[in-house]
Amino acid sequence: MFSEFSSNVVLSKARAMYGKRLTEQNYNDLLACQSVGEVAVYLKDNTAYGKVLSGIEESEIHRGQLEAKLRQKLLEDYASLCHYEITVGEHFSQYFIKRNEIDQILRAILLLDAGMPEEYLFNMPSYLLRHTKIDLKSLSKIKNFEDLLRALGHTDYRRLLEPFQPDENGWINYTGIESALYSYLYSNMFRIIQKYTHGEAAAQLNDILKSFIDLTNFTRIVRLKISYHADPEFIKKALFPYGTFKEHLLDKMIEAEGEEGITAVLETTEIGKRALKFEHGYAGEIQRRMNFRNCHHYIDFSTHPSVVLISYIFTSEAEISDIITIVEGIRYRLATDEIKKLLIIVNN
Amino acid sequence: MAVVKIKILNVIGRLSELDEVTTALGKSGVFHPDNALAFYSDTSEFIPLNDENPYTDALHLMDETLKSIDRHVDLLNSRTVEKIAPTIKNWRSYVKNFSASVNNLLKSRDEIDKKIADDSRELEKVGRFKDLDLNLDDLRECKFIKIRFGSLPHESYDKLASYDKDPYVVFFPGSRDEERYWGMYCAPTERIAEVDRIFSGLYFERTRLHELTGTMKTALSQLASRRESEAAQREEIGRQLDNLWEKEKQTVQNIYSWLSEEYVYYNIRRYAARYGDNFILTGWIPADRENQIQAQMNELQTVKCTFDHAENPEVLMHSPPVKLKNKKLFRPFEYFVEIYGLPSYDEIDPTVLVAITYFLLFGIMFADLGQGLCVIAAGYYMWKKLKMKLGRILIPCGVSSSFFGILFGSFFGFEHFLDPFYHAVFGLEEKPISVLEPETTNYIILFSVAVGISLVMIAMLINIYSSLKRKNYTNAFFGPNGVAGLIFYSSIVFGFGGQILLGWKIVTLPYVLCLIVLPLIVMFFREVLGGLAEARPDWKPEKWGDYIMQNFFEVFEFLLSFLTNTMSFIRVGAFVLVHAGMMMVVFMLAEMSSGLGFALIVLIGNIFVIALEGLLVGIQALRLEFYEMFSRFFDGEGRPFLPVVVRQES
Repeated sequence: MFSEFSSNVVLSKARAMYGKRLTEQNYNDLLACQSVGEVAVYLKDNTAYGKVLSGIEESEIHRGQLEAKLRQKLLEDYASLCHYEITVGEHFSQYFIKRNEIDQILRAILLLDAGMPEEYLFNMPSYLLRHTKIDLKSLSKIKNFEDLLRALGHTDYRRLLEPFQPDENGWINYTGIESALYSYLYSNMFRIIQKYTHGEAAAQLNDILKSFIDLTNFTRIVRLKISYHADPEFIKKALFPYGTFKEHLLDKMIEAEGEEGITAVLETTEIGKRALKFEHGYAGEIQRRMNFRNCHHYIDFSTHPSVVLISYIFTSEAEISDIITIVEGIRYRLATDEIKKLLIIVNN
Repeated sequence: MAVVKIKILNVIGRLSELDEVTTALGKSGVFHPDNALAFYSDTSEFIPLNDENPYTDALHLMDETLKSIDRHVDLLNSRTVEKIAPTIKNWRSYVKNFSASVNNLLKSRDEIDKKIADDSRELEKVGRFKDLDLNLDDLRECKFIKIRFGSLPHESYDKLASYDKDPYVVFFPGSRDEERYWGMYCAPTERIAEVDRIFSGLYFERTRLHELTGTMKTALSQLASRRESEAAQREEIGRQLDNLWEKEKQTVQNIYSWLSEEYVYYNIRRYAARYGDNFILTGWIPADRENQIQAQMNELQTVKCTFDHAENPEVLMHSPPVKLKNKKLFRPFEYFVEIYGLPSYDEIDPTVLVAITYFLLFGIMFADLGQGLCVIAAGYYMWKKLKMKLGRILIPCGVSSSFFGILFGSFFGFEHFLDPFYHAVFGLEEKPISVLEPETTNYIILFSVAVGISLVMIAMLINIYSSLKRKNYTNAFFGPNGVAGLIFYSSIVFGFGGQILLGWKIVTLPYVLCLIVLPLIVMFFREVLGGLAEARPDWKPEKWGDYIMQNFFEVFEFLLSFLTNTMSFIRVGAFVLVHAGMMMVVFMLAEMSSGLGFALIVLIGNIFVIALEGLLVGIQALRLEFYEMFSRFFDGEGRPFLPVVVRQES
């Protein structure tokens, strides 16, 4: 009884926090900025990121620093919401930490593959050190895949990565590792949903996750088939074994000719019909736009704290991703209109 | 209780004289333009005039320039503008040059500001090392090592532990603040590039001491003096801006005033239409300005103009704009009417009714001599100082409160303060009306219902008059707010009210049939009867079944509104009691203490009651006006008369 009441606090608290999200005017102002410093100053003076950015030296702030600060706010928001969400908060908070850990492992692997693993230290998020069981600092000291496995100690991640030893040429199957890690993450998530939620809440959480996974699988097929010309077997292994798409439908997509062919198969599904309504420049945008729209809807209309909690996190991540896109666009001197096209929220 | 009589003006002439026409009409300050094409059934020959206003860019540029230097110019009066108009030449280039001069100075000032900000930041950073006892020139002389001063974020400092095997990745902190460590690192010249890269990755921010010379003390004073000279430059630019403004102020004012006029007059063209090389322009003017406008138009060669009364049915259908005209005493209450919506041109202006009824209702509900005087003072302050329209309304409301306060004998809640006055003037023992006496309470409630009945009836009578004036006979005779509704309502009130309160035995079968049932039937079939009376061909409903079903609910709603509107006025009496009750509570609290405590509680209690009840009574009285009365006779769908003016009256 009391736990339900305190869980309900999440509804109003998350909605209140969501009310402080960036407005269209904020986005336009950010797009008008000329440097990373200006973006930082604007965020500090005019938005809910002010608190987390206080004390930064905006004249010399780096993109990595800014991103770390924004993500730190997301973690703080999430921690404060989980505090109220007693029913599943604790388990969902583990999901969030795991996601961050997976991101760090993948980043370390990318740097290892590029031959500069020590660079990991520069962007290592210190705010995560308090929450994670992985020794992140040791990820910057790795020299090879064995070191990486050692750095991961006795965590589940080590077990997941062991089958992916590099071949004799030193090639690391990054796509396979990414699939394995995210499959592990999603399986955990679905387990939590099944165990701790039921009825409408479970249905809404499944909808958010499954539609996201479906569209991620679609994007992967397009990317691996069109950009990397990967063989069907390899593509199949790289897909997540979750979502609503049946195996024969995924096979159809894998066999389809070109991006149009794959999209045509997607259009035969209910999720595809909904998702393809969004304007998009490239396939990878669809899943993020659809996910944002879904979560935005659930924040407004769902009466389940767990759904609103997860929706808030996804929408906040979309916002941060948009800010980073703007920063990148400014750094590479892209035209404002070009940057704007790449944003998720403004174009939703 | 009226609207200003207006006429519609149609102007036709050659396009070559359109500018003179728009200027003359604009200068008159009484011309409300309307879309000319809306007044003609066949507009195939007409083309709307959509020329770009040639004065827009210059005026906007001037506005922006003045805003950027935080200057304001008052518009010259039209007579002065007329005098200087021939002297204004090359205004485009003048505006451009003036704006460019200002922008150049502002740009220089911005650059200086940026330098000052950079130097301030640098001073702050270098200040961190002010206690270093070393000569910066000696550092530059070093051949084998390079030294970097600066700061590291806390989290980066923690990450340095990962480089414990590299002897050159060492940071020596000298001080720290909430965010960063301040200090230095050094490395051999051949390793410095690699170490720099590592520290850069850790977001090390360098303080460029190597650009400075001498000791830390002299370096700091170098920086400080550089900042001072930049500040002096900034002041110099400020002086140049002031001089420029002093030199150009008069010219800017002349051109800005002239531009504003030309811009507004030219905008009138948007309402005109052309056919061939002729134009038509239509708009509204007050009827009493007809001769003046006629005379001005007659001076133009090709221009012909006609005037027509707004009351003409063909003109009336174009919804003539409305300007309220009331005696000075009632004028403040036009604000309330405007909030609800202006009357249509042929509708009754309810301002006088609102003024009288609001004045009375507010006073009755908020009856206290002392508090009424406070409301007058607050109203005067709001009107004169804060320029609030509501302030002008509060003054008469305060007068009314004071008057009823005398009647009820209340002065800041002291219920017997005025007894000597009654004794001396009227020979009474004490005040005439004591609202909290049980028998008085009933009378107050009955009185407020009686007030409600009277006001509802007055609203119906006004509706009958207004509907007859607008030739809406259905509404005037058969509607719930027409004759039928009035007979029904008054029969019930007098019949049953008289029987219950005064013992009249007038409610007989014929009385019920003729004065209650018959009007009810008339109201039920009001559209049919109205259609027959006005000889409309469509008087017969398409489906009688639907008609009866729909009207059953509508008539039920009318009956309900008669009851609820009347009962609504009970709040008038309720507030009389609430006011007295609240003050009684204040005094009960005050009497618990004595001396200063008593005075303080009475003072705070009075302030609280004036603020809270003043607000409540103001809203409730307005609610009675809008919902119980206006809804019976007033649509409020008129549009305001907004003549083209260059200078807005405050």
